[in-house]
Amino acid sequence: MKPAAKPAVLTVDQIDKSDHHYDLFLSDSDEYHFTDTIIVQKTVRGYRIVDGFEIINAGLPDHYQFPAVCFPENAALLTILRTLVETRVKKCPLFPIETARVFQMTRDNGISDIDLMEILFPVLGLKADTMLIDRYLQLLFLTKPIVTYLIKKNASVKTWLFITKFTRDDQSDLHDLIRLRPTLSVFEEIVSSLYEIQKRESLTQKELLTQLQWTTLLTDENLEPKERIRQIRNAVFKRQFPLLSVHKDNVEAALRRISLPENAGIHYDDTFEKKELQLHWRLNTETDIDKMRNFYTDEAIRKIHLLLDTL
Amino acid sequence: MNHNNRFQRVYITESALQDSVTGDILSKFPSQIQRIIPDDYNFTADVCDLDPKTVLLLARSQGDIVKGCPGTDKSYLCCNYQVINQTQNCPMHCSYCILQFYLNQPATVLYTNYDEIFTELKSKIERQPKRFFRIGTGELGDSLAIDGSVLFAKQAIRVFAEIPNALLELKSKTTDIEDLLHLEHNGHTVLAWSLNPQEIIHQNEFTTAQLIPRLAAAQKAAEAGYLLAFHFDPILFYPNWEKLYSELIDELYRHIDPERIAWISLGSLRFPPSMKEKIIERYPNTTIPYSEMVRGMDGKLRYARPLRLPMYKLIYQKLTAVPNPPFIYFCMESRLIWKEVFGKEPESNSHLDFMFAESLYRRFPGLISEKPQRIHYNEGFSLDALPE
Repeated sequence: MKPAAKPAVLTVDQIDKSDHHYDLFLSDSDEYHFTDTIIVQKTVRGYRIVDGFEIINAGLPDHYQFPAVCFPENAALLTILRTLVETRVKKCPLFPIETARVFQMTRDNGISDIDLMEILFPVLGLKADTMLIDRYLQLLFLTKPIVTYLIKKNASVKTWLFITKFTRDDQSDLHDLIRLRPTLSVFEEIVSSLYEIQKRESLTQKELLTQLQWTTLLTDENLEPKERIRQIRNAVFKRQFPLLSVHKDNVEAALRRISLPENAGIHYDDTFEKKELQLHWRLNTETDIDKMRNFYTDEAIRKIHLLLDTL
Repeated sequence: MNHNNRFQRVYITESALQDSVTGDILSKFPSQIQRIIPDDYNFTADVCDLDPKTVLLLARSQGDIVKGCPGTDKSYLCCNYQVINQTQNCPMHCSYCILQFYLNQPATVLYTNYDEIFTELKSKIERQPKRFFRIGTGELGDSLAIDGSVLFAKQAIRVFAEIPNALLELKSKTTDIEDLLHLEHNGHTVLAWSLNPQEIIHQNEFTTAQLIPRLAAAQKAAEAGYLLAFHFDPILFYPNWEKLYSELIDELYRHIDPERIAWISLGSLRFPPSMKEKIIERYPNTTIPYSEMVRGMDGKLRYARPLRLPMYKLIYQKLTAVPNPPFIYFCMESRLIWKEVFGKEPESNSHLDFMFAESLYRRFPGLISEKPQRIHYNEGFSLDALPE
């Protein structure tokens, strides 16, 4: 029978504070509360913390007693990890980087992928797939600013895994963007576009970024961060959709030629699948109605025709 | 090129074993592991580590398999094509193929109850005797890539030879047509090939026949009296697309007399957004998912109109620059594109269906006995539907 964890009451001085074997998770702001049960494992040097590292910095006296769940020295790593992960996911889902650290630990300790998938995947809510283990392990090569950004933005697993397609060197190019604190959706849009353009045009990232004037734009202190993001976003879009951009520019030019009153708007489908214009009027006052009446001159109609043709 | 050796295992349901054709099919797979299973046996777990393209299932169909082509959203025009889904999945590997993601089944399926299928077919066609049908077996698989499909095709050719108001279309990227050349087809079978420039075939249509062999096979089919069709689908955007597609059309007409071509379809690359990641995963070196694509009115990704329009225009112009050009149509395109490329648009899907019949009647005298009437198409219904 496998040795199981048992409840125990320990004192702070029994903890081996230097043992961070299981310190796999990101420290959070949680403080230790006196009712918290921490998980430990008996070792030759005392008790190693499995879960509950916050107790170390809680400023408790050495003789302070606390409740613990204690694994024996010969407990199987996978059993401990299962308990640890179960405990953590009850509090909140793991960040992908944390899952990657768990996988790394199993690999380092010679645990087979099959055992890992059988024991831990159900707890992690993952479907059995050995490829997935390797993909998660790639997360360990993400640069620190990227990891911090993705955690802060609570990025999806998909985004985490996508960024692993970039080499560490290429990831460091993205730091200029991250410093400007783009929203996650804008960040995702820009990095996926960069990746796709590189693949399509067989360019290195360095070559592409040079052509886009990436660093110059993103570090231009004369512009507000928002404006820098807007400009790089436009530049990337134009590069990814050159024909669509030219078409859009032509349509916008035709649109600008129409002198629209401020209470009117013209809208078009910006995928250009439809050749259709929608005119909207905001009519509150008699003046608004007059503006509408006066707008439909022969010249305005001719320009609308032109716009429609340009679509 | 024979694709039988791509299969690793063959599963045969007990009921399929009773069909006369099953033994003939199995004899073509002598070196594969063959296993007889009860009809209700779920073998998914047995093959979970295998690509469905390498597992063959011989079974009897459950329910109707003669149906209307599902087409796409109403925002795009479709041609009211009808399909016989006897073969489901394909052993070849095309980077853009939707089947490898669309078919959620653990094996390539071949239905063996041919007699029932033909009975279903005939009874459904009989309900609309005044309408002329185009019916294909290449919707969910290649019509001729597996011996079990070829055996079906051979019988289907004979069956269609006696159906006055229908054409069978066998659509393929293979060239194994020798067994079909001497059959009595009565002009009621169209042999069709998907076409792309050789460079695109080389980079995206793995394990398929190359361009020139496809055209050579088509030439042989024409000599055997078959009508031909070609599908420029998917048209792919390459930086040198003008040169590639111009040369392709030159090559087509060097091999084939346009007067023997019943129809040519045009369709640019399109796929559901969820397929993009899967293509990249399966074909990491392909660049096709990275083109200028937008989400169309049907939710699928497709080339932006400013990109696909010039491609269509050039291809259409080249294809029609011959005397008596073939009937050319778009597969799943918008009315706007029809109008911008052809200068006209069908009024509806049924109108497009009628246009096919009218073209066949005019271009191939004797194929359709009576002049097609629009009303029979307007009032027509799909073969999987019951008349109202």
